[in-house]
Amino acid sequence: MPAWHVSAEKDLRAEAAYTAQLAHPDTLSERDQYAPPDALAEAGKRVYEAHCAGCHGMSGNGDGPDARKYRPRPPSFAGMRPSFVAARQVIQNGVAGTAMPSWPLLTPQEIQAVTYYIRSFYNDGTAQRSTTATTGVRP
Amino acid sequence: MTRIRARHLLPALFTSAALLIGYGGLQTVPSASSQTKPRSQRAQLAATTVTSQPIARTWTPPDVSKIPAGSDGESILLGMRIFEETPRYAASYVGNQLSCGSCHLAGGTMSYGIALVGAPGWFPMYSDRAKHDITLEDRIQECVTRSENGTPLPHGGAEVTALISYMTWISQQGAEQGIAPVRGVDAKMPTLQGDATRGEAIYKEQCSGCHGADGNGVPGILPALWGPGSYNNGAGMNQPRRMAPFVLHNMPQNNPGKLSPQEAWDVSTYIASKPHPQYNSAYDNY
Repeated sequence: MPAWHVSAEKDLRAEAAYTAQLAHPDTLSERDQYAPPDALAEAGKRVYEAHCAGCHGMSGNGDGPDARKYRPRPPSFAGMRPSFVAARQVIQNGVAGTAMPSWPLLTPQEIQAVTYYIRSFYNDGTAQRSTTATTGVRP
Repeated sequence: MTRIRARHLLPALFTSAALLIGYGGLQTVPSASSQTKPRSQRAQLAATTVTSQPIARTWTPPDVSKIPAGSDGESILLGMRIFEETPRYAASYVGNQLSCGSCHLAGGTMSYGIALVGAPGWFPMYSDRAKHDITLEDRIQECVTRSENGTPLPHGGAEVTALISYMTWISQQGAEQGIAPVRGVDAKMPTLQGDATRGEAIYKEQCSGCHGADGNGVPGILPALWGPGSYNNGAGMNQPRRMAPFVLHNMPQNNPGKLSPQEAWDVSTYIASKPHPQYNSAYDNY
C-alpha cells in the first residue's frame, strides 16, 4: 500500500469509507429520531443558522463571516460528515485548542437536528452538492 | 430552599474568580468601585444589579453511566427518558410536543435553567396556586396539566415514581459534589412593565429564527411558544415575571445574556399576549 500522500484519491476515499464504518454507526435508526426527517432538517437548519453559520458558513463551507478570525479555520462540512455520536461530543464539549465552543444549552433534540442538517452538506465526490437537507434517514 | 441554595452557593462565591454570584441567584461582575463601597451599599448593589454577562455554569451534570443497575436504576432511566422526551414516554398524558427538558435545561441540572437538583427536599412546600402544602407529585402534576397542557399522570404510578426517582438521583449527585446549580426561575430581577410592541420587534430579531415567526417552533425539536402546540395559559411560563428571568439568562440560546432585563420583560410580555391553549380548571386541586 502506497503512502497516503501518493495514494490515488479514489483509494483514499475507499480507505476513509472503510475506516468510518469501523467507528460509530453512521446512521440514525428511526427509533432514535426525535422527529421525522423533514422536521429534523427544518429544525436543524434553524439551529445551524443561529449557532453555527457565523463561522461554518450558511452553506457549511467553513466560510462564515467570523471564520477568518480563527486558526485553525472552522472546517467545511463538504469534506466531513460526523457521526451523530461524534457530533454530540463536539457540540457539548467544544474542541480544545480551537475556536469551537461548547453549547451547553442545546437540548439533545436540537443537537440531533443540527447534526442531521450538518451531515446534509457532505459531498462525497460522487453526488451533486446540495445545500438543503433532503428527506430520508441517511443525512 | 433558600437555605439549601445559600449553603451550596458559598463555595462558589469563594472559588469562582471570574464571576461573583450574588444574593438570590443574581450575578454581578466584581469591579474596583463595588469592592470599595461600604458593605451595605455592596449588598444593595448585589441585590439590584442584573448584568448581561455570560453565566457561570460551574456544576458538572451527573454521569448517566453511574445510574445503578436493578429496578431502582430502571426507574431512574425511565424518569430520565420521560424528562427528556415527554411526548414519547408519557404520550397518553401530555397535550403538546414540549418535554420537561424544554424548560428544565440539561435534564434539570443547568444553573438558571430551572434546575431541579435538590427538588425532592423542597417538598412539602406551600403553594401560592393551591393555597396549601403540596407534594412533589402534586407539583409534577401542575407541570403536566399546565406546561404540558395534558391530563394528570396516574397517582403514584410508574411515570410519577420514575420522575421522582430521576430527580432524587440528580440530587444525590449534586450532594456528592457539594454544590448545586442555581434554580434561577425566581432569580431576583427588577419587576418591570413589559411592552408587547417592543417585545414583538425583539422577538422577530432574536427569537423567530428558531421558534418561528408563527411561534410554533418545530414540533418535537424546537419549543412552541404559543399556539396549539404550546403550554397553556395556566403555565408559569405564561407569566412574564416567570419567563423574563429564564429569557434573561438562557436566551437567545446562541448568545445568552444579550438581552437587558427590560428587553427580557418586553419579549416575555409579547409572547404572553399571543394565544395559548385554555387551562382546564378541573385540575386546580394540584
